[in-house]
Order: sequence, then structure tokens, then C-alpha cells
Amino acid sequence: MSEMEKYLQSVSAGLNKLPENERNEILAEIRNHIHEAINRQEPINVVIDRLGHPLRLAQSYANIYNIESGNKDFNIWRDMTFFFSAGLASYVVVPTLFLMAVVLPLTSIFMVGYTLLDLFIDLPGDNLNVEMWYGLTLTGFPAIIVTLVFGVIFFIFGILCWKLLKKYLAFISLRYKKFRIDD
Amino acid sequence: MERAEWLSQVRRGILEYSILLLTTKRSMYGYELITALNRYDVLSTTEGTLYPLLKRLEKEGLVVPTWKETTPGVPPRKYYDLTEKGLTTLDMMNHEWGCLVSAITQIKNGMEGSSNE
Repeated sequence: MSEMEKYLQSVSAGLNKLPENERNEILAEIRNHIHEAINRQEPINVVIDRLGHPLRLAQSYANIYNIESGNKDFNIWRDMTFFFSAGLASYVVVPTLFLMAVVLPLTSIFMVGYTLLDLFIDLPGDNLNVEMWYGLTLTGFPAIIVTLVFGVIFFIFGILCWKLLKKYLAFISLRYKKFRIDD
Repeated sequence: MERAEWLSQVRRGILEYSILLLTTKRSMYGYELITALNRYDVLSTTEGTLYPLLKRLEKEGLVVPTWKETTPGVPPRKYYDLTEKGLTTLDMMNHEWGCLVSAITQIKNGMEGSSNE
């Protein structure tokens, strides 16, 4: 197989996602180009070198078709799917995460603050009672420890929710931008 | 900044402009366009850039191709002509190009504030 045919075959392989007639037209033009160059005494290796790596050339062409692949019906379905799923998910995810991100740290601060303050000054209300599972009730020192531990856990969880919310919003925005540009 | 890097940035839009300008006068095929562009060092480009660019201009409807047989045994040539839309785009480019050159000239002459644009 000649060097030209080898090159054209590689380009063709890189264009395999294109409709056949489009692919053949591109190949015909490159084939003509190589002939024109050879007829003017240009060495085949120089000509092929200037055309660039066959897969890269194919990619340059494919990029054009990706931009152009504007099948409107398909885009409408894609847009609808995106907005419906993203909208539905956001409806639940965004308020939940936001609420958790605000309420959990506040609860934590209140719990820990009240417990620590209660150690030094006798605050109004009963002595600290922590109702555990299976009817177990903690008082005194163990109750303080449990409150502190849960306070810290709530606080960390709240921060995590905040970060997750930011990540979620960034992810949705990125998805949105991505396919807007694709059009 | 490297000369090649700066040129490649500047040339991005100019290459389309040059191709549209070249196809105004008469039908041109790829090899001819490359040869015409390579006559100018600052416009010189490779085939790997030109052919996909031609395809894009064709897809955008700025140029229209015609296949013509030349000599037997040689694959047909793909000639490009400017379309109506291409002509409109070229008019716009000519206008903007004029504005661009005059703006740069004014900046160079230190008359930044006196632009009428």
C-alpha cells in the first residue's frame, strides 16, 4: 500500500463517526491535495507531514461536526431531561443541605455552649439529662461528654453539608454551561 | 512573548478573513489557497489547519464547493466560491478590519482619547 493510501486510511479511521458521504468527501479532497502536490514535484513525506498526524487531522474535522451536530429534536429531549432531573434533584437537595448546613452548627453551638456554661454557673432548667437509646439516661459527667461529642459531630456534619451544597451547585452549573456551549 | 505564539493567536481569525478575500475574485481549490497564503510569511499555514477550516466555512454556509474534473487519473478538485452569506460576512470583516487598523494606528500615534468609534 502506498504511503498516501496508508495516510488516507488512518484519516478515514479517525472519521468513522461521520456519515459515509461526508467522510468520503473529506478523503477525496485530501486525496486531490496530495496529487496536486506530487504533480508539482513535492516529496510525498513533506506533503503528508504538512497535513499533520492523520488522527489529529481527523479530530480537527470531527470537532466541526460535533459543533454542527444540531439535531434539534435530540437537543430538546436532552435539554428537557437535564432541566427536569436537575430541577427535581435541586428541589430536594438544595433546601435540605442548606437547612442542615445552618441548623446543625447552630444546634451544636447551643448544645456545647449550654453544657460548658452549666459547668460554671447554674443555668435555669433541670440538671443535664441525656436520653440515650434503650431507656438509658445519662447524667453528670458522662452526659457532658456525650453532649460534647455529639455537638462536635453535628458541627462537622453541618460543615460537610455546606461543602456538599457548594459542590452540588458547582456541578449543576458546570453541566449547564457545558451543554449550552455545545450548542 | 514568542513570535510564533503571538502570531498563532492573532492569525486565528485572520485566516478565515484571508480565505474569504481570496475566494471573492474567483473559485479556488485547497492547494491554490495554501499556495496563495504561503506567499506571505505571516499568513503561512499548514494543510492540517486549512482543510478543516474550509470545512467549517462550508458548514457555516460562507463558501460553497464545486467538484471539477481536471486531468484523467487525477482525483477531482474541490473549488470554493463565496456565497451571499459569505459576502455579507466579508463586508462585516472588511469594516471591522478597517476599524481595527485605525484603532491600532491611533494608539500608536498616542491619540487614544480622540477615537470617533
